[in-house]
Parts: sequence; C-alpha cells; structure tokens
Amino acid sequence: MTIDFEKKKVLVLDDHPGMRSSIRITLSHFGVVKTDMAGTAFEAAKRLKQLPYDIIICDYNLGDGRNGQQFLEEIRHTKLVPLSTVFLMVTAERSYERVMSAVELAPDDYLIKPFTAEILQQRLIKIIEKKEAFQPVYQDMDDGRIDSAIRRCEQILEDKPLYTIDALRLKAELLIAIGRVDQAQDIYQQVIAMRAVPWARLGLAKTLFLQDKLDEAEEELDDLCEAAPDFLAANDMLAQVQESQNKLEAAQATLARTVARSPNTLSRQKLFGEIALANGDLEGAEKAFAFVLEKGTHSVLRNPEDHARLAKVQVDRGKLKEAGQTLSDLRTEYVNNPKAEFAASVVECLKETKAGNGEGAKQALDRALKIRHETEVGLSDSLAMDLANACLVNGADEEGRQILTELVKNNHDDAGMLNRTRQLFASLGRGDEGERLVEEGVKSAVSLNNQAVMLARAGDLPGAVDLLDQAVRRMPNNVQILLNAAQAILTLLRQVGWDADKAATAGAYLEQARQRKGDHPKLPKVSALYHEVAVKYGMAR
Amino acid sequence: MTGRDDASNWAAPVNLTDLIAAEVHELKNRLGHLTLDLDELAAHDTHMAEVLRDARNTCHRVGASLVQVLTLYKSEQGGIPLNVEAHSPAEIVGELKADADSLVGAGVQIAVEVDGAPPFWFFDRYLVGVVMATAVHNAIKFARGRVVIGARPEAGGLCLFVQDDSPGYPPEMLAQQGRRPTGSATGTGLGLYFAHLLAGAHANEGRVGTVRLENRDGAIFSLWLP
Repeated sequence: MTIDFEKKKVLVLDDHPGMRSSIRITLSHFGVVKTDMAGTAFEAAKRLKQLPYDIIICDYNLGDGRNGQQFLEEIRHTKLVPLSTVFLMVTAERSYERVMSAVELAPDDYLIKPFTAEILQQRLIKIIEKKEAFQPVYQDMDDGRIDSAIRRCEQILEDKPLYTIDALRLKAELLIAIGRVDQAQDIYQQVIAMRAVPWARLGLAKTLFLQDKLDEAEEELDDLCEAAPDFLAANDMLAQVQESQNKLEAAQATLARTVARSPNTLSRQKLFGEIALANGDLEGAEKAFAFVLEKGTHSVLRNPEDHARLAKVQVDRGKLKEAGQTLSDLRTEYVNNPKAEFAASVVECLKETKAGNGEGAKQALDRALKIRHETEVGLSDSLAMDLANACLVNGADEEGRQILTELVKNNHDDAGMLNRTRQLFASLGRGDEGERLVEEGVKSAVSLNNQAVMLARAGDLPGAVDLLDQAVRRMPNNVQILLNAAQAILTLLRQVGWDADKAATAGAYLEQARQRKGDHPKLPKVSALYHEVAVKYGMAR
Repeated sequence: MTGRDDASNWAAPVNLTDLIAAEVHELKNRLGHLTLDLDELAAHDTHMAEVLRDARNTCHRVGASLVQVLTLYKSEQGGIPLNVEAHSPAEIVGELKADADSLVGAGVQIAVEVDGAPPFWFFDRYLVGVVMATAVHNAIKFARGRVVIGARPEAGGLCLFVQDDSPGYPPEMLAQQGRRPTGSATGTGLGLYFAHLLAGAHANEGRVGTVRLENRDGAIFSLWLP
C-alpha cells in the first residue's frame, strides 16, 4: 500500500517546544505537510474539536503530572476522535513500554525516543494498514452492531494471519461487552498458551472477576502485579476485586501503591479516600480528599461533594477550624448552587454538633432538609449517610431512619454499606436499633426479590415482572433488583413477542443499573439478553 | 530527548553509578537530537552526502551502544527487563532495511529475505531491534556490495539474521562467538556480549534464545528466539 502522507493531517502533542518542532521536521522528511502542534492536552482537545485529524502523535510525559495515556482515554471515552484515527505514543523511557502496551485502551503503537524519520514512517504505514484492515469492525462498533463486529474479527483471523493477535484481543473485548464472558476467557487462555503477555493475563483476570470468581481473579492479579509492579491497570483491578471480597485493608494497601506511582489520577485518589475512611484511616482519607481538592481545580469531574468529603473527615478528626474553612471554600466556589449549599449544610450540622453548638447544628440541618424537600438534589450514598447521621443526633429521628432504610434497601447486597449503617447506630449507643433496621431493610429487599424469582421459576413470568416492577419503584437504586426486573421482562418478551413499551422499560432499568454500578457482574449477561431478544424480533442487527 | 523531561524520570542519583547511568540516558537523547539535525542537513545539502552519511552512521552506532550500556546497567539490578509482545518479523526486518538504506551509499545494496517467516512472533521489539541494528551496522561496515537482512522459521523458533559479502569473521571470533567482551582497540565486543545476554533473556517452554556467528560466502549473524 502506498500512503499519501501529503494528504494526512497530523497533530503533535508534546509539552516541549523543541521536541514538537523536531517531530514536525521528522514528519516532513516523508512528505507530511499538514502538521499542527499542541503543548497541552487541553489545547490538543480544543484542536480535535475544531478539525478532524488522521494521525495523533503524543508524548507520554505531558508535564504537570499528566500523561498521554490519560489524554488517550479522555478522547476515546468522549468519542472526540473516531477509532480510525491513528494514535501513536512516544516516550523517552523504556519502562513505560509495558504500561502502554498492556492497558485496555492501548495506543495503536508506541515509539521510544530517539527515533529516525525512517522508523517513524514505517510505524505509521503499518498502523494505517492495520486500521484499514479493521475499518469494517470499527464501523460495526460505532453502529452498535457488536455481533457483526465479532464475525468480522473472525474473518480477519481467517484471512490475515498478520493480525491474529490484534483480532483476538479485540474479539475478546467485544465478547465481554455483550456478556459472553466465558468465550472471552477462552480467547485469553488461548493467547496465554502461546505466551503469557500481560494484557492477556489482565483480560483473563477481568473475565474471572465478571464471573464472580473473585479468589481466582485475585490470585492471577497478585501474580501479575508482582511480575510488573508498574502495571497500574492490574493494580487497579486488584483493588476492585479486593473491595468486592470486602478485604478493605488489602484494597487500601493495593491502592496506596498505585497512588504513590501515579498520584495525579484523581478518581483513584477519591477511591483511596473512601476506602481509607471505611478502614478508619482518617489521616489517609483526609490526605487523599485534600489532594483531590487541590489538584482538581480544573477537572471536569469536580463536584461540590469533594469539599464535603474533606470537611467531613476533618470534623471526624476534630479539626473543626479546618473543616469550617473547607466549607467556606465550598460556598465561595459554588455560588447559588443548591447542591453545594445542601452538601455544605449537612457537614456544617455535623461540625456544629461536634462543637456542642446545638442551635447552630439545628439551623444547618433545617437548611439541608429544606433544600432536600424543595429541590431534586441527587443524594450520593456517602452524603445520605452523613445526612442521616445529622438527623439522628439532632432529634430528626424519623427522617434519619427513613434515609437509612432506603440506603439499606438500595444496597442490600453491599456488605460495606450495611456495616457502615450498623456502625453509625452503634456510635450513638443505639446498636440494637441499627441491627433491627438493617435486618428489616435487607429482609424486605430480599423477600420481594425472592418471591419474584420463585414466581418466575414456577412459570409465572408476568407475575414476576409485576412484582419486580413494584420493587424497582420502592428501591430505584438497587442494582440487583433493577437487573432482575430487566431480566424478567426480557425473558417474558423472548417467549411472548416484542413489546416496545416493556422493552423500553427493561432498557431504562439496564441504563440505571449501568450508571449506578457499571461493573456489576450480572450486567453484561442482562445486556446480552436484551440484545438477543432485540435481534430475535428484528429490532437490532 | 530533552533534559528536563528525562531528568524527572530518574530518582535523585544516590551513587556514582546511578549518576553515570542518568548521564548516559541524557547523552542518548542529545545524540538523538544530533541525528535529527543531520537528517535535516542531509535533506538540504547533497554535495556533502558522503560525509553526512558517515556522520549519521556514527550517530546510529553510538546510539545503539548507549542503549546497550544503559540496559546492561539495569540488568545488574536484576536481569534485562523485557517487554515481550507479538510482533511481525517482516515488519522489524522492514524497519531495519529502511534505516540501513539511509546509511549506505550507492555501493552497497540492502536486500530482504522474509519468505516463510511466521506472521508474528513473541519478543521484545525494541531491544531485538537494537541488537539487529548493531549487526546491520557491522555488516555495512565490512560488506563489499551486498547485505541481506532476513527472518525465517528455525527449529520451532524464529531466526533473525544479517548476512554480508565480506571476507567473514576472523577465526578467533568464530571460536569465541563473541561471548566475552574483548575490550580491544578495534571494538569492545559490547554489542555481541549484549546480543548473547538479550538472547538468553528470551525464554519459552524451557528453551532460551541464542546468538550464532558463522562464515558462509561472508559473515552471518543470527539471533534465534524460542
């Protein structure tokens, strides 16, 4: 294939002006004339929004703690660039090589500096040829035709042995996306039998995790992390597995390793803070939340709750003055924002309670409850817990109990959440009451769920659907119930025929479940069922 | 490639060896800049073509040596860190040819032999590339008119080779197979020593890679990977 580089639009992202112009000159040696340059990820994203580019050449080290992998994930997740755009990562350090090749969202290729024009040209040609071969697969993926994309991968496996490994890797990812996890597992094992490359081992661990084989997943990941300590994606997944196993101390230790290696990933810092908090490590939690606030000034993920989390930990540590300052910062940063005022008031109430200022605490609580009743502020689980805490210590027992009952019902299979609820009551010397509330909440969630499952087993699918619909209305955030309800509806439709309204309901339940817990082990299976039923009635290809 | 970037990737040197390694890393990157500058010159100025080619040749050789020195230093702290992934042997041979073409004048022809090579094989692309590039540089230095770079299946593994039409390796080299660095005036033997180390680091199903030097209508350097 001859490639007309004169027609290719190239974007070079590197924080060093000297390196940017070096790459531009190198590119010009083989005919590239349309080169734009960016010094920061922000600037590069702006250019990508304005113009389509054929090729992006990005340095791994972008300065200020940012790296090219974060940039790649950002632009792929926001679909700022299509899959057909070439992304070549460049690095001065060979130690990043493994990191780059093994992550889930890997660049198309990477190149270690220094390199010559000849090598750069060869690499680009090979990537472009590969992209060409996979273009029909990408097209299917963009159109949501995953089954067809998988068949095209199989075709590539037959026709183009050069791309065997790439096609296997993509096929496995697609299989996971539609819930055929066991088939994906077979592929990873097939690759590992050839050679135990890190990405295949990570993939295998993921399929084990998705099948709820937590101990096996942990073993594989432990091994992998030891062999490649710089492989952060493996560490992240290990922490996730350990959290699911309720091994919170191990999860915190794992996350501590990754945070130390890559402190600027704020989502990881937040997760670390939450787990430290659950482990009673207030100091660690405060440090993490403070870091998120300090570094996240311009992050798109910034949220008033970031301040609230820090202030709450400061209250718990008895650092009331600092907590007051954090809350005042929160109110300064978000003016006229009900959600921010709500979060600030909840924590303020806890702060005043701790200070022994009953009157101030009461006022703050009233403000919080008023906002809650008058506006639709979404309540995160941790803020709900704080609000319930504030209610219980300030005489608003009924409201506090109601919030906690909802929390328990929505998370009846989350051991950590149930424990935190019990601990809250115990800390107020009302341990027995807490036990009862948790027990009743879990029982009502489980019993509705079980009744429905029994109806379904007895063949009364419409009855099961009705019951689960009711359950969803009472526990709209319970992921297990959402997924069971969607599954019951879809199983019914598979038997009796398509119904647009019912299918839409099932789709909405799935979406809610995905937003609340995108990594729930049952999610891929129910997604796959939805797709299968839609295909059966010609509603999808 | 530039100072600030790379200095930050190194922990503060705690001893002389670390300091030297950091400096070598730095040298490697400055050399990269120099190479690019020469490329730029070569693109504009043709009447000094011969001199420029020699200069670029030297840069490529020194660059490969520095990578080997750095990797050897790291191997002292627990083996050569490999990144083994699936790569196309034909592609790596293609890259070696592209580089070689830019380093030789009209007098030397670079040919490629990849018929029968497996579509992909598992190895560390970067370090195998450095070892093979060094072999190509040597072949170019001694060849009379022709260098062949190739890949083929061999004994259940992959064989990458470079063949020239020189008088061949001297007998003492064939006897030693370059296993021990010589430190002689004509070359330290670092390249071959490194090649042996890297081959040995590639292991699969109980077999490890090997390096072979032989004379057959010229010198042949082979790197066999299990």
